[in-house]
Amino acid sequence: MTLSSKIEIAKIISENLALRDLVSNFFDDLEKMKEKQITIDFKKVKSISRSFAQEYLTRKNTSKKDINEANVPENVEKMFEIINETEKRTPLIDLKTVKIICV
Amino acid sequence: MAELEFPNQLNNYLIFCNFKNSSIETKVLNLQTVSWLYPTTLLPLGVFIKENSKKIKYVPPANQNAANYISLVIGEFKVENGLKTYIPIIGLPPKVAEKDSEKFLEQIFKLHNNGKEYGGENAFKYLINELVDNIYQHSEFKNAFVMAQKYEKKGFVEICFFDDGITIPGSFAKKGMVFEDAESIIQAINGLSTKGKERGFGLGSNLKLFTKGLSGELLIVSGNGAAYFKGNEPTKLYKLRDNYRLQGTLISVRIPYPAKEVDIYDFIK
Repeated sequence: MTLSSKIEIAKIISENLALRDLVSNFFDDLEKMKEKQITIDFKKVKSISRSFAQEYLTRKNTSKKDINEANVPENVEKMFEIINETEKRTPLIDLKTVKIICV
Repeated sequence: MAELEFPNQLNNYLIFCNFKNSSIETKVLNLQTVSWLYPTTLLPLGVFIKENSKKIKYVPPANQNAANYISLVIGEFKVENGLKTYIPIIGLPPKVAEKDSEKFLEQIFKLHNNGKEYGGENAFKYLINELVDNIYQHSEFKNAFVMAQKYEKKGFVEICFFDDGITIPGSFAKKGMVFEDAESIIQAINGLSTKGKERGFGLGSNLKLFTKGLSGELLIVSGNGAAYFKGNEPTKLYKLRDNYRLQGTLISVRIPYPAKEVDIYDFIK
């Protein structure tokens, strides 16, 4: 039998998932659990930053656990999609066109 | 005066520098003629007053309203309930207590009604979250602070973050990436990261959301460099003389108020 567990991330971290280091700490704790299958429940989550989402997906993809999500709000789902879709960035500002003013 | 040609936020930063430099020379910080200060001046100045209270004599503004405001803003480094139009200077929890910053962020959101009038909850929280995360990820600060003031009649809110860390150019230099200070700000905006190729989206996506999504203005001062961004206007980059150098990084944003809700996903890809 495979042990499984469900964790409400809003209770562990916050309803506003903001800071990258908190994802790392969260996953460090997950890796120590005896259960192999873990469901991260996003119930009550109101917002997620890009940094948080990016770190979450990175840690999930390299985790030894089988991690899946439940009750993912639309805004969180969209952020995950954006992270997964991002392949190449183009520079926003061309330095050659910017004049430096001495103050 | 040439300074009048600078954007307001940069001028306000230079006002801080002038007060600081003059007080270091005379041992007196004389604000007697001051009638108003914006957060871009008041946040670094308030921190300077706090840190130098034993070395420098502080002369408050003669204008009682201004004196009371400054006293209130810099007097208590914590959030008080019931404040409607401003956030006084509050300190970010140190890196070792980063978990507590969630409470700090919740206070900022609460005092801004969750950003509902600043482009919507998603946009406002995205902007604040990414800026605070950047401070924790890169600045190596001993002290970091935020302050905000809403100007209902003028139609904007100004939110400032200030940390006394290693600066943006200093962060790159630690990894062997050496740029002019002003150039380093653009490198960070363009996504160069000291922490790998998959990183470095925070500042750039924030800039797009601030300037294009919310028609806001953004000033970044770090070390001897400064950069100013507004809408589709050309980027303005500044090389600061040593007496205008900032040991740390100051980020000042102005968001029009009230701002219509924006779909953040159009700007952060």
